[in-house]
Amino acid sequence: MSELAIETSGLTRRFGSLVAVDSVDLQVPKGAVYGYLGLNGAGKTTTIQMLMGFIQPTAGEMSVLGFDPLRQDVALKRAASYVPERVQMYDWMRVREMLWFGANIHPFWDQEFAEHLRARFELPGDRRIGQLSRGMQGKMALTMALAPRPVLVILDDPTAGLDAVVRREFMESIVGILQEAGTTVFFSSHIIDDVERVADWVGILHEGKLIVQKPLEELKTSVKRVVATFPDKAVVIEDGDILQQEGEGRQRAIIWADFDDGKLHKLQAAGATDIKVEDCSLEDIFVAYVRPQAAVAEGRTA
Amino acid sequence: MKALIYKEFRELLAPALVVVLVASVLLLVEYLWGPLVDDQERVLAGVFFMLGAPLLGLVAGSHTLAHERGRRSEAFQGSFPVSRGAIWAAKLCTGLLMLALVYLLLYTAAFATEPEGARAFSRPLPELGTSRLLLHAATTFLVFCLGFCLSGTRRNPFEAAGVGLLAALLLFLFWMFLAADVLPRFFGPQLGIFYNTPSFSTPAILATILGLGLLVASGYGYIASLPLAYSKRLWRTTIAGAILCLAIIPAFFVGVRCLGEPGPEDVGWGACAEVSPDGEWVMFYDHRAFYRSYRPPRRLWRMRPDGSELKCLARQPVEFAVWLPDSKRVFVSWGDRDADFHFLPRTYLQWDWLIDVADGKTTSLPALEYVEDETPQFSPQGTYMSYGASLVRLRPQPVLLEMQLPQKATVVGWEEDESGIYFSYSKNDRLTLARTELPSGSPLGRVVAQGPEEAESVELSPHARWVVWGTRLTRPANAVATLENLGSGARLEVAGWPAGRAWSPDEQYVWMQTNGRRIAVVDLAHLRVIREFGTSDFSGEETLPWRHWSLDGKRVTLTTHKVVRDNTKYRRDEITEWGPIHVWVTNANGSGLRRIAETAMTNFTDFYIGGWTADGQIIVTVEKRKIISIDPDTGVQTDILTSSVPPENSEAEGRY
Repeated sequence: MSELAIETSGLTRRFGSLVAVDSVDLQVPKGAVYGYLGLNGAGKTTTIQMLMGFIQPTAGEMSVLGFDPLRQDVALKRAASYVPERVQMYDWMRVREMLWFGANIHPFWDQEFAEHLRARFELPGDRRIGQLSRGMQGKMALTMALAPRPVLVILDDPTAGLDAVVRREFMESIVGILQEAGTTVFFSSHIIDDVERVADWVGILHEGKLIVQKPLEELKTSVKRVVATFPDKAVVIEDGDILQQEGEGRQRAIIWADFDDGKLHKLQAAGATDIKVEDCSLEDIFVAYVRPQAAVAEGRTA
Repeated sequence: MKALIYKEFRELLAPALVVVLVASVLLLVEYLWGPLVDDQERVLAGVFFMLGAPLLGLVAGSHTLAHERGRRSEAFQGSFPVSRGAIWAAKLCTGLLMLALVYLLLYTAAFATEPEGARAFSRPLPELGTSRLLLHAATTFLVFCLGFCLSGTRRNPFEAAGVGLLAALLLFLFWMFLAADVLPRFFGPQLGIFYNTPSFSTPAILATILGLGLLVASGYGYIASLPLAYSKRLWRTTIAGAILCLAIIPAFFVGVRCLGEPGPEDVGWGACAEVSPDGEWVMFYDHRAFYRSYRPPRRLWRMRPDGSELKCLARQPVEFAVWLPDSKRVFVSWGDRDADFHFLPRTYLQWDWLIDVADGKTTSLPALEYVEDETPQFSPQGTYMSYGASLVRLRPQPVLLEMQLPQKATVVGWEEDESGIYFSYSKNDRLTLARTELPSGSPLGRVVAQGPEEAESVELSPHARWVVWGTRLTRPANAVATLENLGSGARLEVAGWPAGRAWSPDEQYVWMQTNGRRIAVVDLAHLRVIREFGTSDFSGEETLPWRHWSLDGKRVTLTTHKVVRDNTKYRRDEITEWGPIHVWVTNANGSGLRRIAETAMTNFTDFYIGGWTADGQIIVTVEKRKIISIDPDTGVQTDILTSSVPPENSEAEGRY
């Protein structure tokens, strides 16, 4: 039995000459809350649509909860719930009607749990979906996704279009519920705060490529910000793990992946003094990873 | 599936209710307008034609995946743990179910308001055979499905509309071409599906425009304002779907003829009984039900004059049938004259057969172009047939003769020995009678006679001895009929348009209509009018243009009826009241006139004199489509065909 809820190998999707997803090897452990980070247009939604069997990959293999999403989509959707980006449900339905609808669509629907979620999210039963606020609609969608007691929940940018207050409230709701349910969650977002607050695994997708995939804590531990003073501004530090260099004079700030003692000695050997090693926020790490390489190179030669 | 159907049902409910509401308004308009007065008052047909488009559009256009995509609920729908096939099936089934419910409701309302008018809904078509029915159903379904898929799988509603429109046009062209033009050519009329569009009269047009306006206004208002399905994109795909469904509507409007039990008014089932030239057979059509807006489909039957040996000669509907001179065969024609809805300009076709009266065997005739208002003429021995300007040699096998008569020439008669044919045409602005040899004479022929100046009509006597020219001087009342002997050239002018002529079998007498609704009896041997009948001779009644000679040439039947005319200014002798029809018998020279029968008929829908039998009886179709025989000596009437439905075991063996 695989310990991975989602596993892909060389997953690729092309739209004409555009490579939307490029050889992605996802590994989402069971029970994890996996934040799938990327800029707009990075390929997050395309990845999710392939994982749900909506579109066919150009190349590669994938397995979601052991199912082939293309051939076993119905079985997959019974075990995994999916909340699309800016989900639009049937506006004319009332909240209770929507729950009845869900109960008659999903074979494993837990009506008690659905009512519990509705009460917890304070969703008025006789209100039409179209009359709910965006945040409430998001909670309604989450209720619809969680009430069947899924093993896996896939959320495609669940906070898109929500203001900051509603977004925080929504994400906190997710955290609370998921802590109780022990469900594997795979969610995409371009809002780093959301991921940092909720996720325990992070994957960063950039221009279709999965450039990093690690547990959040491990990622934050391994990536450091190093501030040092060099004897001459012409000194160049070259290392494949350097993500970003800032500063024009003798003093520079370097964001370094997999920072360890060996890299520290390398700095000292280059004559660096006043070396300070600091932790990075996820935002720093994300920006360092997705900043265009030209900018990195520019920073390095500066 | 239950939830999916519920959801689709709810989303279709509002548009369907709008449709029902508008249709109800239109039904009310018709109800308040009063009963239908003629065949053109087809408000109901108009209602359905107009409502069909948006309704089907809603089914095939909006409530498809395109609709889901348009309002962005497609992704949510995609998260359901059900297959795409189940989603598709739920949409399709609910759409069709809703359609059925709407039409059931409308039918009920229509029958409640006016049962007769409601019959216009099921526009009778020629009886559909199994293959034709299957073809109809299969094609309709395919078109529907294709439209459904095309409008549902495009990424963008505009794209869907464009593709839908294009597909609709192509499908429509293809469908019309295939079903109305190609199939009938190869397989005959039984595989052709013919479309009819409603003919609108002024009130129908007004009511339809009103209804359409209401539909658009209420539908748009509803959808724009209520939370049920408020996305305006709905209408883009609705329009696309509606246009697409134009391909479906023609098929949708094809109805299978109702073959239910006749109503109380339909007591008999015979019509237009016609006696064979030898007086041994009677052929007639069956009319199981009358439809006001459509000529009823009818099958052809034959029997002996006493009602025995009843047999159906043609199961397929018959346009008309004519006896051949040998009395052994019947010419039967079925044309697509009612098929007035063809997308492409096309040549109208008709299908003709000869049926052996004794055993029902059929022989197909070459396909001819549509000939309006003409019946074929046969040579005296039945070797040739003329139809318009076309000539067919019937023996040994029917062949279309490649003998091109002059433009607008009309065949008017034959030599008794079939050695030549007479035809008329206009030469130097004069109506001319010409003769040519058969089967391969000169198409121009030889001029035999020329009519008087301004002559407009010409008729040849059955034995080609006499010709009658009709000349309209200033108005019909001043018309002149000129009788001319083809051998001697002797002429006799009789005042009046030469209508209702009846030649005695030996061509010694001819009876013809004259001025003032009078009848002249002409002695051809002495070329003079020997007697004239006026209304005073018929107890003040007017004569009808039907006169039949007995086979022995000794007696003639005439028909009269009492009418009341309004001669006041501007009414132009308009008939305001019809009296019962009477049958009279006279001797060949007009002597011994006496009334032998009175019928309750006050209109001519059913009444028809079929001629004399070999044993001297007169066959008449009378009210309630009953066929009777009248003894000319005693006036005793004998019912021949009175049962309300055809006998069970009398179905045709004919194959076409």
